[in-house]
Amino acid sequence: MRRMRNTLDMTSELAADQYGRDAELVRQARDGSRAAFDSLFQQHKRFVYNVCYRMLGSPDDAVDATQTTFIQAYRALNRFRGDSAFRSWLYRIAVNSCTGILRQEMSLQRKVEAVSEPPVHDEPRDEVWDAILQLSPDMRGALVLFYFEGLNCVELADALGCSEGAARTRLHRARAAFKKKYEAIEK
Amino acid sequence: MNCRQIERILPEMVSGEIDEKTAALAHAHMALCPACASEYAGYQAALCALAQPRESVECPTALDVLRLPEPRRGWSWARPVFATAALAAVLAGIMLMPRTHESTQPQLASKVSEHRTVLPEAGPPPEPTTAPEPKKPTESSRPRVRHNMVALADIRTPGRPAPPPALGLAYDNDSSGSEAMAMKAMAPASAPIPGRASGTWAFDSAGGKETKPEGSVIVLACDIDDSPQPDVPVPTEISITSTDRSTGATAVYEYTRDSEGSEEIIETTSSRPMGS
Repeated sequence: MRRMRNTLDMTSELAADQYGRDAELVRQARDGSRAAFDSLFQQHKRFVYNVCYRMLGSPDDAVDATQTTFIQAYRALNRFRGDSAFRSWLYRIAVNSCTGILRQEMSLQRKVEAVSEPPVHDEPRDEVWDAILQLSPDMRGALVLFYFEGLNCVELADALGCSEGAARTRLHRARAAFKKKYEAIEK
Repeated sequence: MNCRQIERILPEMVSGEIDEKTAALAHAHMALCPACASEYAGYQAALCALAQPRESVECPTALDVLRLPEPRRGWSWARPVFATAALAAVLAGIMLMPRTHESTQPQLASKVSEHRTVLPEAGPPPEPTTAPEPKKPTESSRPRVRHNMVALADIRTPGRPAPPPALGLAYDNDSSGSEAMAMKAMAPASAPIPGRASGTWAFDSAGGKETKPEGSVIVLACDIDDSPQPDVPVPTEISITSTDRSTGATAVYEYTRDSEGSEEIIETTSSRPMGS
């Protein structure tokens, strides 16, 4: 128990340290430092790429979505109030970017479904990921952030840009939907 | 608890997000309800698979560098505003610019302006019965412009057979008051009297001589070329007579000029039109 508490203390200290470094880099980037924003990019690109990759299921799309996420963050840097962690803010932008891409894809897919086969992904998959990729963009985002990125409900609410209660509700629905898809794939 | 209540909390129960008392009640219900127990087992399988730790994916090399767009320059919103303001200023400058073009012709400017000051004094407005009423220019601060005016320049240079070259200034003035100016270096074609050059100049807006029908050509002023001529002395007495063709009113503008080009008005007379 004491060991777990020590680990938690270290984690929170690291998080606080990261928060302070991010805040300083954001301040410098706001003042026009491209180097500062590059540092933010290098520190967070892997997390953002993972979210995009899990949500989109394609490395190429994930690269594009990651670039888009950081470009949008760069343009909107003055609107970042610092109420939440910079990474949570990035997650929100990433989920919104991926949601937009997925909605466009779904719309396009519906139009071409009648004349062509659905796109086949070459990436190695498992049932879990296959089930996730059958969910709606909103549900994908909630599950990816909660289970793959390890966000808790408060952080999830931050990243989704909603209240904690709304985040819990979305997570509940996503879990139920995932179970149905997962069971269908297993059968 | 009933099946509906259990169904609402099953995902959170599997994830360990339900308090112990509620979880105990749910387990008690599931012990007696195979449907809820089966549902619980299904959630356990799915969410445990979902909660399996996963390796973080490495970023591809395409993300080594962030391709940020060029930074937007400050005041970018002001660009069109400034451009519009600059255009407006240029247009305003053109509209308000003096229409005599004195700035580009300083040598002629003084004479033209002097001559213009003479023209308004060329007698009262003519009677409408003797001649058609000339067009009235629009009221403005600029010098009054007479329509259908011809300037006659007499250049007296005693003992000289040929007159010096002259410059004519012509203004074409339409009814709205806008002017077009043409300037033409010219020499009177003939010298009726030795030592005395006479010329009647009328220019159209393009500088053509007497190419427009009477009534549409306006000449406000004539002037003498100030450029030194090797074999022609500077004229000493110059007389310019302006005649309004439509009314017959005339104005004579005489001045002397010394060898250094200084001028002195010696006489300004005007006469009423014939028959008035």
